[in-house]
Amino acid sequence: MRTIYLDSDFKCHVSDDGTMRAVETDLFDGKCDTFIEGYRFVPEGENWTRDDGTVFAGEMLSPWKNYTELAAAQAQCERDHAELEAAYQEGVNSAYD
Amino acid sequence: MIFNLSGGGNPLNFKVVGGTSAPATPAENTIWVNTDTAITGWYFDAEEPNVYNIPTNSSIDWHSMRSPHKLSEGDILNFKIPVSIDFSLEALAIIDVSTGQYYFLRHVDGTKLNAWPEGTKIGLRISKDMYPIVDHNGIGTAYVMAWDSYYHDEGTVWIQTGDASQVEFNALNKNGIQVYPIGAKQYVGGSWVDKTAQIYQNGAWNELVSGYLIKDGEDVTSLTGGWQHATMGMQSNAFVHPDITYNNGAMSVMQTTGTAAAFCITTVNAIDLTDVKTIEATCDAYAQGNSYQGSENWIDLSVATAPNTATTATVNLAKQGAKSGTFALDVSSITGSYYIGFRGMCWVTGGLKLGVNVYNLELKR
Repeated sequence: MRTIYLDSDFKCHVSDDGTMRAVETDLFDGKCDTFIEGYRFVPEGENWTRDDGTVFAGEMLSPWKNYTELAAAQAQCERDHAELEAAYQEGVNSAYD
Repeated sequence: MIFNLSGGGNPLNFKVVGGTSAPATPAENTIWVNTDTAITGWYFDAEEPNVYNIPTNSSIDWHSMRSPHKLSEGDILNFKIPVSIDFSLEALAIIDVSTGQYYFLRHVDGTKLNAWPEGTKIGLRISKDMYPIVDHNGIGTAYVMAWDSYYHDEGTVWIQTGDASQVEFNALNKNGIQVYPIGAKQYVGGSWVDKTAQIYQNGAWNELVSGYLIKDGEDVTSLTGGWQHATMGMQSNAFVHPDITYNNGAMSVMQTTGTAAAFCITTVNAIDLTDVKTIEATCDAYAQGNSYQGSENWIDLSVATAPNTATTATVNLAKQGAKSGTFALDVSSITGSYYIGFRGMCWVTGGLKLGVNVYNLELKR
């Protein structure tokens, strides 16, 4: 569970610029900031109107940035995390050698 | 399928017109493309028409170039010479790279064609299945025309076709070629641009929209490949696999026994969502019981990159209860192929009803 922030277009942010509202959600557990900020989250009971006039009722979660790029960013984050974890573990092991 | 017919006697049972307002007195099967760019021609095809540009001659080894497309007998290979080419000795040829066989382009009197002025447009009707590239007969020099880019006339309209459409029609006055239009693009400024288009049928304008995955409760198996049980990344020790049935105008999957259940069904085929903006489901959704144990009582419409991976986009259909209606999921920023599914879980004290009756499931472009 983490706090994200929604702007007036329901786009997700990881920090508040002072105009956003906070939402507690577990939808982004394990996701990096770049991934989160490429998504739109429409809460239950609310509606979002796309530029072409189509109305979407919440609760809806969908990417507003190209998902292929978001998935690549998330994969890179996970690789970085794995390398850090491995480096940390190597340090721990060497301390006991 | 690709066709682009014209000629006397008008064998066609439709016409394609452009403009920023609909024609006032349209004939049946008039396709109106909403555009301010004049329409210079049209194609009907499921995939981008095979029209190739040769931007320059080069000395690239054709073995290093990407594999050409297979063309079948009757297909037309069109290309344009954008710069003046004068091969003093050799003629232009197409090569079937699967056999290495050269086919020289000649005048009807049999002489070889040597000079190709800038802008020359060439259309070749392929008379046998082959994988052609365009070359000039410089054996030992191996000049090969670049293959990778596309050329279309400005204003050309591409009516996209599929296996199913709300507005299918017979393209010919005699005989029958059933066409399933699902969208329109126009070649403007060097690229295909999405255009809204409508067809006049039965006294009304109807939008060219993409095919249904489920239409009036019938699975469009040619698109979905059927439905399968999966997980879409859900973790539960209460997974159930209720039967998928088709009756009363709906595709139904429903679990009504037990007190805890999780289920997920997805299309067997991955569905290309590249040009799809919205997935729309008309359904009755249930995630209900007499009373609830915990908050995880819901049913969603979702898409995922694989049947058992976490969802990429999702919209809730019902939560701790039942709901009927038309539900829309925005997929306008998703490209590529995805599995579309319904998934849910419910933990109740009794009276479990977890599932969905799907009347229509539509991809809207």
